[in-house]
Amino acid sequence: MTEPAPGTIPSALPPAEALPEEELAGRFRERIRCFAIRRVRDTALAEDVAQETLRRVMDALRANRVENLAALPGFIFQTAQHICLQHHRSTGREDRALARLGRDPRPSGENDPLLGLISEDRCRAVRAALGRLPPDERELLELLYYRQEETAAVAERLGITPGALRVRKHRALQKLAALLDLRVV
Amino acid sequence: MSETTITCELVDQRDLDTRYLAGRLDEAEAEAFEAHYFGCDRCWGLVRQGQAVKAALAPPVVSAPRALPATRRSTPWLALAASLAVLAGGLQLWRVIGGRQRPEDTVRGPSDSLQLVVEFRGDTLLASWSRLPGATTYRTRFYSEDGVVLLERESAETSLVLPPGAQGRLVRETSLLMQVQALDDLRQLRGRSGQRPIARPPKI
Repeated sequence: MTEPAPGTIPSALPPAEALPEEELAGRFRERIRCFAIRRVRDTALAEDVAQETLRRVMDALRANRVENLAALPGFIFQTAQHICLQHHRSTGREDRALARLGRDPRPSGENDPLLGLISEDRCRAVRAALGRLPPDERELLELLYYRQEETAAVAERLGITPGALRVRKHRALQKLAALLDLRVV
Repeated sequence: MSETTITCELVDQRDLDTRYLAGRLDEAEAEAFEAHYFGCDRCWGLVRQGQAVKAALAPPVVSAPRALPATRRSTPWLALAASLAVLAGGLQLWRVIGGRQRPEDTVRGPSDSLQLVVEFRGDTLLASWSRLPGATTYRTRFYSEDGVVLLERESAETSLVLPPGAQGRLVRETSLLMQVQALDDLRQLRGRSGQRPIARPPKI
């Protein structure tokens, strides 16, 4: 599937009858996991948050508590936010109890938990696809995503404007998606 | 939620996708961007691709067992006391709010407290696990290698037999992960197994 051009209006949500549980999960589970892992910093807990969020949203849809389907992404976001907040309150109480006993709270999780969401199989496929990109595009993606340099700094290094860099970035990502046959949605 | 409204144009102008993945957005910006990508396939696609590139280029991590701090190892009763204090507080809160919070809201629980054995015999998947005191329901989940839940079942039994006709989306997968979660009668999570890999035997 090709990626929509930068700046295009996102595709509209399908109608309610086209949003059974599987469809809803396929569309939103990864977004919820990505959202959750930044907060709970644990892949298993992030999966639990995703499950619970989808369960509550499906309950709300079945009970006709979601009147405006265009607002469904916002409703899902707020539900996930609420569940993560409950998790924080729970761990906060535990940490405070440990602190009262003169102990440090539990150590924080992985340094970059987002990386835990990508399987090793997918990493291998992406590495192979990156290897088939032209060297300048591969270097650009490496500088932006792996070395995490700012756009302005990368543009200066490559002797182009930040605007031109963004165009090249989107072009490189589109090529990568085509090589991977990546579903964008 | 943050009041900042994010558009695709703003994502591009401020490089919100790359800065989000680099952890360089402040909390309000990050949250506003997350609220945006929940409803925007294009920007979610940027995040997803960026994540994949970042993970693919990162050096492989050799995981080692996570050791507990020495202070906790030497005084396990402290952690136990803290847990009991939290539990007591939680029970009190439960009484005060009169059950307004649904029991299923709890998402935490001890891991690896269930022993799970799972295998394919021919095309039939067989699994069994240890019983956990206090648990009345066992929720089994099957994941793809990407962590997507493909199938979920609940039962009071400590075993599961899935012939091909009952495997749903599992039949398309050759490599799977399975986890069992133990729930009590209030549907609180009491324990769970680790995620066990399952390989489907090759067809001859």
